Amino acid sequence: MERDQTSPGGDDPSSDETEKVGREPKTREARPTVVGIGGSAGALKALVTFFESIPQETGMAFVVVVHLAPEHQSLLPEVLGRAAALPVIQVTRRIPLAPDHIYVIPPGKNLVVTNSHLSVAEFQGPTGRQTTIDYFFRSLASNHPDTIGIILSGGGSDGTVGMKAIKELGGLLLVQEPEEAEFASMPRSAIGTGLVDFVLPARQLAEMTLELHRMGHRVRRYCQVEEVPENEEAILEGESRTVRLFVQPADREEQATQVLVMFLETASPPGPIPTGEEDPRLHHVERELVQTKERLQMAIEDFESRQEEYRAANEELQSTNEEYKSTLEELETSKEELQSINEELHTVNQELQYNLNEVTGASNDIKNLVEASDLAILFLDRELRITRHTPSLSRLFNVIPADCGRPIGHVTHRLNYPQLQIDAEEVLETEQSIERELLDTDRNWYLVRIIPYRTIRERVEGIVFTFVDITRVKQAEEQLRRSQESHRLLVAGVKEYAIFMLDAEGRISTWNEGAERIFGYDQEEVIGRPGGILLSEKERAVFEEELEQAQNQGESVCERWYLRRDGKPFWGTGVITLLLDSDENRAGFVQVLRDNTLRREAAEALEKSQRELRAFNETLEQRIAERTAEVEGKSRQVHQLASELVLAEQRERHRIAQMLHDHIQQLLYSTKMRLAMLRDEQWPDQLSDMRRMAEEAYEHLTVAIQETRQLTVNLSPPVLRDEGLVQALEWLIHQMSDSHGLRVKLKAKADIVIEAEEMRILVFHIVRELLFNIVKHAEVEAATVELYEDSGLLRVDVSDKGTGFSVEEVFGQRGRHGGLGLLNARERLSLFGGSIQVESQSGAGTKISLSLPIK
Amino acid sequence: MKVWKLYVVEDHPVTRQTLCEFLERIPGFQVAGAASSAEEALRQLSDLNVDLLLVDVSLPGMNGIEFVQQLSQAAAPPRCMMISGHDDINYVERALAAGAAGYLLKGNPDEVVDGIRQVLNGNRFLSADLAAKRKSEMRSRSNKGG
Repeated sequence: MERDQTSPGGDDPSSDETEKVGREPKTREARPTVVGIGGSAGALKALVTFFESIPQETGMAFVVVVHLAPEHQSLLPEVLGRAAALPVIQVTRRIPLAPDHIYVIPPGKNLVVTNSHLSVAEFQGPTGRQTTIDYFFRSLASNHPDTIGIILSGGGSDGTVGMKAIKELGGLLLVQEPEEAEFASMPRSAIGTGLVDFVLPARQLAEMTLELHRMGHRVRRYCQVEEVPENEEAILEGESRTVRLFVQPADREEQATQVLVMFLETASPPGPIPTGEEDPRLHHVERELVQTKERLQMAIEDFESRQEEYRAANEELQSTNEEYKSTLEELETSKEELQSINEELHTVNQELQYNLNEVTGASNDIKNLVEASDLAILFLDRELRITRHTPSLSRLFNVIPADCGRPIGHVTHRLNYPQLQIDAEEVLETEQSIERELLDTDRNWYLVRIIPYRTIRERVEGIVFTFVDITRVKQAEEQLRRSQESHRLLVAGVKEYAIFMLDAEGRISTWNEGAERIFGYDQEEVIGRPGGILLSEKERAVFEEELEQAQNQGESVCERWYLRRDGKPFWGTGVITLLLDSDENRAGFVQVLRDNTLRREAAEALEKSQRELRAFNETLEQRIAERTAEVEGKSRQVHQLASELVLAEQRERHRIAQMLHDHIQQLLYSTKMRLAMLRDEQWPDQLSDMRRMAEEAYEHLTVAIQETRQLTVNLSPPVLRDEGLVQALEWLIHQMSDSHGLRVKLKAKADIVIEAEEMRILVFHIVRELLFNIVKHAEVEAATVELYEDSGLLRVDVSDKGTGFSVEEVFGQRGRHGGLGLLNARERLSLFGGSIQVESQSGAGTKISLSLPIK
Repeated sequence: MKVWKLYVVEDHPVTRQTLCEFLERIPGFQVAGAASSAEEALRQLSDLNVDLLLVDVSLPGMNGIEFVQQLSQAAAPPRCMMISGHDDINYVERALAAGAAGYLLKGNPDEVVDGIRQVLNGNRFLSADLAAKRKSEMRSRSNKGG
């Protein structure tokens, strides 16, 4: 813009020239039709719309004159260049007008047309009202009478005067529809002249311009076109001819601006002016006329001079008025500009505010980050003066916030770091960071990192120290080192276990003392050799499997024969463990082994003896089973025999009883009867001894019969054969009472049934024996027999309250009491799976309990 | 003087013979016949008009009690005196229930004549031993029951 200001169009013709040229005769045919377009505020939008509708080839040259701020570079060429299909040229020097170009006024200059050339002229007066459009239009009208002048949006009235000139010289005038225009005063001012041909929106202005150009607008040069009613005729009167015109819209739907114009016929030309005859009065009149004319001429001249004065005064007034208007307009424009600048500033301000917020946030983040991290950080400028530090720095440096600005060399610190300044200078110089591990006076380790302080523009403005306490890391490292060393020593010193490592390929990589002892290889002999050398050929495949298992599962147990250096095998047991590196990749294996040959031998011996023991045990069990079966068989036999014995005994008793009854008693009875007959004979006195002897024999037989009868019953009580146990016992009790005076109380349920006859007999005989014992030894006259069933056992309790006895004595002396003693009873019961229990005390009575399985 | 006609059923031949001879010697008694089994007796008795039968309890085949039971079904049954070596009260009771009028134990010949006379006179007779035994039995039963 400065350039524009400083370089006026010196080589361009002056405005005077322009005026002069404007009056030159026109040579229209050689020149393009020039369309002059004027506008001001709001014109840019209209221009864009206008030129968007202008095609590439029109045959017209467009000249755009708008009010531009003289101090600013105009963006108009670029804006229009983007919108228009035609090339846009900002006029800076004299150039010929060419068709299909758009020429744009530069800022701070006037534009004039001279002889089909455009050139710039110096702007007239900085405070004068904007008259660039008028100025241009006037020069255009005089040079190109067939021009088309267009006024677009704008404030003020510039262009109105120029339009009159165009109209006067035969051009056409188009104006943007004020309703559409952003600023309507300039279009309205133009319309106010009454000379405007068409008032249309910007887009239709373009279409109309093209249409008018296509049609040629010569007709319009000759006639003042009044509004022609639709479908009606109009008479157009021009300079030389009058035509009748019929106007009809091309299409009712289209805008009325597209019209069809038809010439119907040529009207009759006016007749020749008639000429009169000569007259003598004519001279007089002529003289008077001349005189009058001269006077009139003088009056006119006077009038004209006065009028000229008035006109000058008027023009001056108008000019002053225009200046005011222009000033007002400028003020409005300035105001608008100020508003727009204000808005822009507002936008910029918002952006800045936003940036500031971000910067503040970031700054806070950094501040919190630094404080939270507990890092000791020191910032120095290029002169190694402290610019900033974190609170944690005070642990190492004797700094206070007031120390900002002090050279770092003046501040004492607790680090063993004499070359601090040297390092700092080196970093400043090389712009490369430095790291050091240092001790402080308390023997804490610090990692010190010195980096150049770079600004956003990559300039090194200072340096930054960070101090990180790595004491614990150092200690951990030391501990790790020591621990690794002690592990190494531990592993190396173990003698009972072979501990060695295999690398990822299965080659031996470490070898401890235990391995040397167990395998017999020195470390030097095996390191680097494959682990397979420790096994016999046969075992190697299994070893590979173990490695694979360790690879897959992390560990595998190995128990096998290994080979010593001297070829002697030994039984080793242990594990192979997979070793992984930090990336979880296979790093190798560690194998721990122990020579367990002795243990294995012992285990084998143990297993062998266990096997033998098991076999022996099995044999033994088999034999026991055989014996058990044998015993069971015997037991069954014994049981059977016992039953048989009881029954046989009873059968024998019965047989004897029967014999006693059926024969001996019969004989005894018969003999007794015969003795009775003999006794009752009439014996002579001398034979009185016969009677006496018969009587004595008779008495003996009486006793004998009673005894045998008793014996019969005792041998085989009929009730025992015919009825149940309870009935037999009832009978027995009678017997005891009748024969022995013992009162026995029987407590028994009548429904106790014992199927097996031998059992009934056995129980009966035992009870009878026990009662006999009471009669014989207890010295009592009463006893109790209780009979009951208890879970498959028949229980019989025989008790008395007599003298009692010592159980040991009774069982100790077999059969002391004769007959079926207790011992005998016990043995016979046991043959049936039964038992006998005796509770007795001297003087405290006796209770004898039998139990016998009956189911 | 009335002569009572007696009949003996006894399987043991010595006893049967002795019993017959013993009874023949008693004035007023006449042994009308003797049989060794109940079946034999039944065949003979229909022809005889017997006042009293001496019946052994233990007989081969039909026993004495069953025999008495059968006789008692007749219109005018003869009196029956059981004679047995069994002193079991159960036998006594069963015999009395079957229709016997007396029960003689083979043991005391001195009871025989008196017993037969008692029965012939329409009384009941039990040997002294049995009577005593039955008495005590009755007592103990009534005791047990009471």
